[in-house]
Amino acid sequence: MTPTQKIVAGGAAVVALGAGALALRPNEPTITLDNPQRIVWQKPTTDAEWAEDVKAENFDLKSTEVLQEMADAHTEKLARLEDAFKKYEECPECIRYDLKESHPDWTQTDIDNEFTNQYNQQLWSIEKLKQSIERMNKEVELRDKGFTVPDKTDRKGTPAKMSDLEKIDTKYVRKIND
Amino acid sequence: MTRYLFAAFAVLAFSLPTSASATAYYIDFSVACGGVGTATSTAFCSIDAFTETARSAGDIAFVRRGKSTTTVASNIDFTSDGTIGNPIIVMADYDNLWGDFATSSETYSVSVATSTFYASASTTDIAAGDWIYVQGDCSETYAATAFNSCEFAYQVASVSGSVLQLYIPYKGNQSGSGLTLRVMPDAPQWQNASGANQVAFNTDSHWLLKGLDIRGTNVNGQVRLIQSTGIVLYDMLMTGNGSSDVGILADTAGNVFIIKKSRIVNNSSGSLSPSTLIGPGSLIADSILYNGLVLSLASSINLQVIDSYIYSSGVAVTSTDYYGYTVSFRNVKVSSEAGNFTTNLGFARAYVQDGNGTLGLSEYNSPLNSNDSVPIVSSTSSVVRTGGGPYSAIIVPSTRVSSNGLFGRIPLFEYPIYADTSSKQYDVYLMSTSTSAWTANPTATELWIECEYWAHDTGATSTRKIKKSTGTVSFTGSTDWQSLSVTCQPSQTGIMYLRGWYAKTKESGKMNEFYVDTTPVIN
Repeated sequence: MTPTQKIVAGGAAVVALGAGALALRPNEPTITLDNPQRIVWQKPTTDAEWAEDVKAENFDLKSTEVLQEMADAHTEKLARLEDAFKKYEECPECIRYDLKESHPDWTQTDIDNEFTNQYNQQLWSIEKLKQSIERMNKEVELRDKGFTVPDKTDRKGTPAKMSDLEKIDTKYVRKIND
Repeated sequence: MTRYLFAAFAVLAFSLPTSASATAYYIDFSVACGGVGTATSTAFCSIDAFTETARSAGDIAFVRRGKSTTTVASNIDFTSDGTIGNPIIVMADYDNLWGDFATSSETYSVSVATSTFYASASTTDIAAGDWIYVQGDCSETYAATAFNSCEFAYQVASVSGSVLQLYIPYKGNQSGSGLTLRVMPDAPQWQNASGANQVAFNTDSHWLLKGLDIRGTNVNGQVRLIQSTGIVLYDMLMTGNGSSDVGILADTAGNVFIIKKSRIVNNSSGSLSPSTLIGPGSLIADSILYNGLVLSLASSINLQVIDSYIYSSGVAVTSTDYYGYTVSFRNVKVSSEAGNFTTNLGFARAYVQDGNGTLGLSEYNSPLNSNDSVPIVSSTSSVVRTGGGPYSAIIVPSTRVSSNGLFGRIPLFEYPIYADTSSKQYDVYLMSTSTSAWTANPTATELWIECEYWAHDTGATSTRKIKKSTGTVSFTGSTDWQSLSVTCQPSQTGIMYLRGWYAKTKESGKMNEFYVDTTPVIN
């Protein structure tokens, strides 16, 4: 079986390769190994690259206040996930035991596959949150230094000063839509 | 038999405030990928593009109807959480955002609580799979950017001549003839039923999915919930291929969800299989579970099921640990019996009200049940007292009933009564159909009624007192209706509770069954 990989690239659409389902036959595992997903990211190195990269998650559309709230909320979620992930890393047999308790009809292969599925999914979630949080913070930083300028200065939609907007290339004016 | 007041908050109008910080996105399975998603003309090509990137609470994605994506290579995962007042939403188009809705050519006769509409002439412009609503029930907002709270849109099951059949009974606000229907294309379809991927909530909270057609075959469900709270599935269709699959699996850790007006179809291992830690507030309403509700290894489950149909294997609730569960069913029609609850361990409770489509059929199942299919307390209209209430409760004791300790007694009823400070006598009538069903009569400490009332002076610390009846009934001597009485005089006007209890262990070789008139007499 060829595992399927979900590749999340900066600014690119989601690309899927291959197929990952096992055919169901007697005595075969009934739990399908899902895609071991990874975050593959060409991390930007310049402000201009970052300014383009954050658009992959539409952060250019968000007002600064909302971005900051999102960063806080996602950072809190990341902490929760990382805390929960400790069990997967430090006591995988605990997870397997819980799975066996919940699904007594599963084979050991089923349990192992499900553990792998959940492990990969949790890992992806953590990596994805880290990427998103970094992007949020970077967009806020770009605005702080004036590299990008939102056309509305607050969540009420107060228009930005024309003088601020005219200082930069129009491609770095953020058209806020929230 | 206790009266149960079900929380109705979840079946009220689903009206969400428009978040000031929300962004609207658009998804169209028929377009090329790469769009930024902020307009119908630049729509995302997939649900993943919305759910797997970070979103703020209140963000919403509208999915074009009538389109499908069947080449699905991976799960739908979720990155962000909404908030309790501002979920993140993925919903089918209810606002005609792509201009593909229509108005019916014919007019229709519509009645509430039916699944059949009758057209003024043979219907040619509506097909099975379409979604409709009766004009006046819902509204469409041009260029909508907020949640459409339409409650009364229904999927068409079949059209034959002038007869239009719905899957779920109509509960809208229109009735009569000459009514026009608004016709919406099929729900957007994600994956074929043979696909192995799933919608996977894992530690994700406060998402609302509405009007989507999710298909797949996966032993872990078309939709999987792990430690995810505040998940709402509304107007959803979840379809398996009948091969070792489950519709929705909620397990591993705590989940809280609402399933509203949805159908879960063709899953060999059950439509819904939650097994652990289903939190309070979890609800299934106005839905059809075609393959049963399997609460296996039910542990710490709090679930209400209201106005729904459960077919195939019906309801099977099995508890194997001492935490048990609490499930409540109101007006739930099942294909076989009213319910099959294994409550022999722990503190499992199953309440049934208007069971299996029979008005007034109520049951209480607890660890005191004598066996899985016989509730300890249930209602009947076939044995009633002349001059009494329209229903009696029939009590079927078991050997687990006991007056030793408080968990071993059966609660017969509890009535909240608004009482003033006058003295009143409360009589409750009981009857056994056979004197030979008893060896000895229950004593006053094995069968009694009680009132719990305010007993403090004005200005003093509020205190309730319980006063119990002291009389007995003679089931060994008579099959007449006999009463137990208690006289109570509250010191303060307010709610007083009248209860009945039974705590006699079932006698060997005797049935010990009896009836309670559910209408007390107040003198």
